[in-house]
Amino acid sequence: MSGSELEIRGLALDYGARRVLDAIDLRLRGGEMVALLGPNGAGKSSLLRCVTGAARPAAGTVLVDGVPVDEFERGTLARRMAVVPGQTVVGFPMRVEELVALGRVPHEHPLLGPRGADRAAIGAAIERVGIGHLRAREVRELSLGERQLAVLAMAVAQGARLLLLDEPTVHLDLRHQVAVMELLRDLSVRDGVTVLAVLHDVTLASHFAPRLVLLDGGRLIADGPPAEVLTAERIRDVYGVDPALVMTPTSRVPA
Amino acid sequence: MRPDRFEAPSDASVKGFSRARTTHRTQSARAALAPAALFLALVTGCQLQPPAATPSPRAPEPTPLPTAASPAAWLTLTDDEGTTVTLAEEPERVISLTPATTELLFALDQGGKLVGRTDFDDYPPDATELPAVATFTGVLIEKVIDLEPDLVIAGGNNFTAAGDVARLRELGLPVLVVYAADLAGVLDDILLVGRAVDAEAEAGQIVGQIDDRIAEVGAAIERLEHPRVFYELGFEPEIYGPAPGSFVADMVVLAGGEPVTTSDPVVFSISLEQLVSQDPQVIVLGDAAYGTCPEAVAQRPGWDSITAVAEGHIRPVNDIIVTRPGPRIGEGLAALALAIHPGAQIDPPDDAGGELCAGE
Amino acid sequence: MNAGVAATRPAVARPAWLESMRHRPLVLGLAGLGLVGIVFVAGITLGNVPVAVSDTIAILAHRLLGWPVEVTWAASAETIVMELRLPRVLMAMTVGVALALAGATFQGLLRNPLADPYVLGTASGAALGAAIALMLPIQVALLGFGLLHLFAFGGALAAVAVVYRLSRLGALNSLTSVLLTGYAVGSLLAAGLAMTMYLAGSNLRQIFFYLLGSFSLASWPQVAIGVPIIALGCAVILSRARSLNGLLLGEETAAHLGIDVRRERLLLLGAASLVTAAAVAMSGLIGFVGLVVPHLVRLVVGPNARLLLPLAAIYGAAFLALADLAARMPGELPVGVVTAVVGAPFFLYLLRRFRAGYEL
Repeated sequence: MSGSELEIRGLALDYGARRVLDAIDLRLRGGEMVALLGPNGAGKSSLLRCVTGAARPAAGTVLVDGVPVDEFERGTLARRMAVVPGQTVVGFPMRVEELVALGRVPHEHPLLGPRGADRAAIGAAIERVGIGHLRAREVRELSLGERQLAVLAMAVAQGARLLLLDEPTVHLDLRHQVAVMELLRDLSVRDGVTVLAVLHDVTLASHFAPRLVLLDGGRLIADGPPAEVLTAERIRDVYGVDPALVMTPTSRVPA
Repeated sequence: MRPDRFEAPSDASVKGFSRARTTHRTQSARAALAPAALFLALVTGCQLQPPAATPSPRAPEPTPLPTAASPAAWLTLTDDEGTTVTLAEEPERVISLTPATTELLFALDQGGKLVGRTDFDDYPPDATELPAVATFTGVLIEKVIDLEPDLVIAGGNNFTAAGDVARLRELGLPVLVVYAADLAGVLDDILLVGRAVDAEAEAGQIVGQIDDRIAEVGAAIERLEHPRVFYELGFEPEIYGPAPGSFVADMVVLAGGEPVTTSDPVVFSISLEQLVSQDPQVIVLGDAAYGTCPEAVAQRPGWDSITAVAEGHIRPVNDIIVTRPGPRIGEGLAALALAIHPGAQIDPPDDAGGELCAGE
Repeated sequence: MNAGVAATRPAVARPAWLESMRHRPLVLGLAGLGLVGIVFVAGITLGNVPVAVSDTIAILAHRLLGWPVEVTWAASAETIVMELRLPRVLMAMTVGVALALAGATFQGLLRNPLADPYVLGTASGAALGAAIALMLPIQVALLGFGLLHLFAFGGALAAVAVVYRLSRLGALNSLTSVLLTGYAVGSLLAAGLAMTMYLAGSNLRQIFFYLLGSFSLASWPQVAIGVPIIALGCAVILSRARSLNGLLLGEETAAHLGIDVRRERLLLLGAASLVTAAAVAMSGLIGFVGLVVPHLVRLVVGPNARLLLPLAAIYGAAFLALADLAARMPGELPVGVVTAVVGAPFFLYLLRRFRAGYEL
C-alpha cells in the first residue's frame, strides 16, 4: 500500500493581521520523505498545522490523496495521517505499550476496544521501532529519546500513510536523533509512508532527507535535493551564518 | 533487526462528511436533560405540605372527642409548627427529643412511659437510665424505630433537625414539635404535652406553680429599679449574648432587668465596643457552669470600664434552669431575678447556681 | 548530550502480585463485585440496632422475592431493614459509583491528578443552594425530596454552567483556564456560603451537617429518582471511554487521533457534572471517593479508561457503602469524615510505596 499524496496549493495563513505563510505550493508523492527547514519564525510549524487541520488557512487548499483536508471525516483522516509533536506530555503514569496502543484509537471499536488486528498492529509497531525491550516500562521513566521513539511507535501503530513531524529530534542526544531519522527514512523507503518532518538541524536533515524544502519569512525559498537547496549563498541569506560546506561520500552537507 | 514490511489494515474510503472546524454545538443534551428529569419528578407526583407557620405559642384547642380528621383517633393536636398530629390511642411509649420534654414528662409523673431520650438529657437523674436515641449529630432513626414509640416529641426551630422530623413522620410516627419563643410559650407547651400524654390535670398544676413563681418574682421586683443586664452566654472566641426578642432577653425583662442585646435577631455575638457602649450595670454569668467566674471577668482587659465590673455586680447563675423551656422555668426565673436583684423578696430556688464559683 | 533528568531512570520495583493484577483486570472486576456483594449484605444486616441475620434474610426474601415466609419478626425490624437500611445501602453505592466515575472523568478531562468531582465549583454551588434552601421558610416535598435537594442540585449545575461559560471552553488550550475559573467560582460561592451560614441562625447546624455528607435520610423515593439520573450519566461516561483514552496525551493529540474534542468534552463534562450534582443533592459533600478511588484503580491497572472506569465504579460503590456502615455503627458520624479519615492516609501510603511515575 503506497503512501498518501499531499498537495498544498497556494496556501496562505494569517495570525491576526500578520501573514505568516504566503503562496506556498508543495507536492509530496506517496512514499517521499521531505524535511522542512528554515530559521525560527519562518512558518514551518504553521505550515504543518495547516496540513493537520489545527489551523485554518486564509487562502489555498491542502489536499490529501486529492481530497481537501477539511472534507475528511475525523476518523478517516486520523487513520490516514499521523502527527508526531516535538514534545509529548504524559498526564498520568502509563506504560510504553499503553502509549503505543493509543495509536489504534482511530481504528478500534468505540465500545469494545482494541481487537485482534489492533493488538497485532501495536505489537508490530513496537517491533518496527525497535523498542520491544521497553514495552512494559513507564513512559515517564524513559529518556527523552526513548520517549520520542515510543511516540513514533504510536504513530506507526496508527497505520498512517502520511506522517507529519514537528521537530522530532529536539532535545535528543545524537544517538537518538540518528535513530529517529533512520527510522523515518526506513518508513519512507521500505513502507512507502509519506513523511514530512519539520527539522531545525540542517545538517541532520541534509544527511537523511532526500528532499529539502526551505522556508523563510512565510515563503517557500527552495525545494529540492540538499545539494541544490543548501548553497552557501542561500544559507547565508536565510540563516545569516557563513557555512563551510563539506563534501561527504554521500552528499554535500554544511558543517 | 527490523521485521518485514509493516502492513497497515486497509482503510475505508473517504466519506463525504463535512468536518467543519467552527461547529457551534448548542448546549449538549445533558444540559437539557437535567431540568427535564426534574420536571418529570414534578409532574408525576406533587405533595405540597402546608408552609410551616412561624412558631407561635398559641394554645391548641382541646379536643378529647374524636374529630372529623380520623374517626378512631384518640386525640388530634396542632403542634407548635402548625402541623396536625393525630394520636390513635393514648401514648404508652413516648420518646423525648428535648431535655425540657424529658424533665416535663417526669414532672408529670409520666416518666414510666418514656422509652427514649437524647444523650444530653440529664435531669432528673432517673432519666439517664433511658436509652439515648439522639446525639449532637442527629436522631438515630433506627433506634427510634426499634423502640416502637407511639409518640415522639421533638424540638422546633431545628433543635431536632427538620430532616429527621420529616423522616420519622414519613415512617408513620406521630411527631409533636414543641417550640417556645418566650416564657408564655413554655407554659403553653407544658399544657400541650400534658394533653398529649393524658396528664392534663398534672400539667395544669405545674403551670399553676410556675404562675405563682412568676407572680412572686413580679411582686418582688416591681418597685425596684431595673438595671441594664448583660446575660453572658459565652466568652470565647467572641462574646455571646442574647439577641433582641430572644427567649433569654424576655426572661431578663421578667426578672426585672433591661436586657443588653446584640444588634440583630439572628446574631448572637456582641463586640466589646458595643458592650462597653451599652454599659450593663449587672452581668449575669450564664456560662458559669463552664468555669467562667466573676473574678476572671473582672480581669478581662478592657472590661473594667463597664459599670457592672467596676461595681462588682457580676453574678453566676445556673443557665440550665434559666433557659431550659421545661417545668423548672419558674425556678429559673427566680434564680435570674435573684442574680439581678440579690436582696429581692424571692424564695431562692434549690439549684440557683450559687454553688457555682462558690470558692470565692 | 544527556541532561541528568533526561537519563533513563531505573524501573521502580513493583511487587509481583501487583504486576499480575494489572494483567488480570477481570479478576479485579469479579473481586470488586464480590466485595460489593459482601458490603451489601453487611450494610443491611448491621446497624446500631441489632437485627438477627436470619430475620434479615427472611424479611428480604419475603418482601423482595415474595416468598411465603412465616412472619416471625417484629414490624420494627422490617421497617428498619426495608425502609432504612436497604435504601441507604443502595444510595451509598449509587453515590459511590457517581463520585468515582465523575472523579475519573474530571481527572482525565483536565489531565490533572488532583481533580475531583468538585473541581468545577459543584461543591460550593450545591452547598450554597442547600444553605439557601434551609434558610427559606418554605416547606416543599416532592416525592421525598425537599427544597434542599432541588436547590443543591440546581446550585451544582449552575456553578458548572457558570464556570463553563466564563472559562470559554471554545478555545482548545484552556485547561488551566478551566481549573482556575473553577477555583475562582468555587471560592466565590464558598464566600456566599459563609455569609449564609453567618445569617443562618438555628439552621446553622443543619447546613453544617449537610456539608459533611450523610446517608441518614436516604429513602425509597430518593433512590427511585436518584438512581436513574446517576445511571444515565454513568452510562454516558462509560460509553466515552475511547475519548478519554484519546485525551490522555492532550487535546491536540486527541484531535489528531480523530476525536471530536469539543463534543466529547461537552458530553463528558455534562455527564460528570450531572452525576455529581445528583450525588451531592442527595447526600451532601462527600470527599475523597472521587479523588482516591480512580487513583487507586489507576495504580493497579493503568490509565486505560476501558478498565479504569468500570473498576472505579465497582470499587467506588463498595468503598462508600463500607464507609457509610462504619459511619453509622458507632452513632451517626457524618460519612464524609470517615472517607477523609480512611482515604487520606491510605492514599499517602500508596503514593509513597508505589511512586510509579507520579511527579507532583
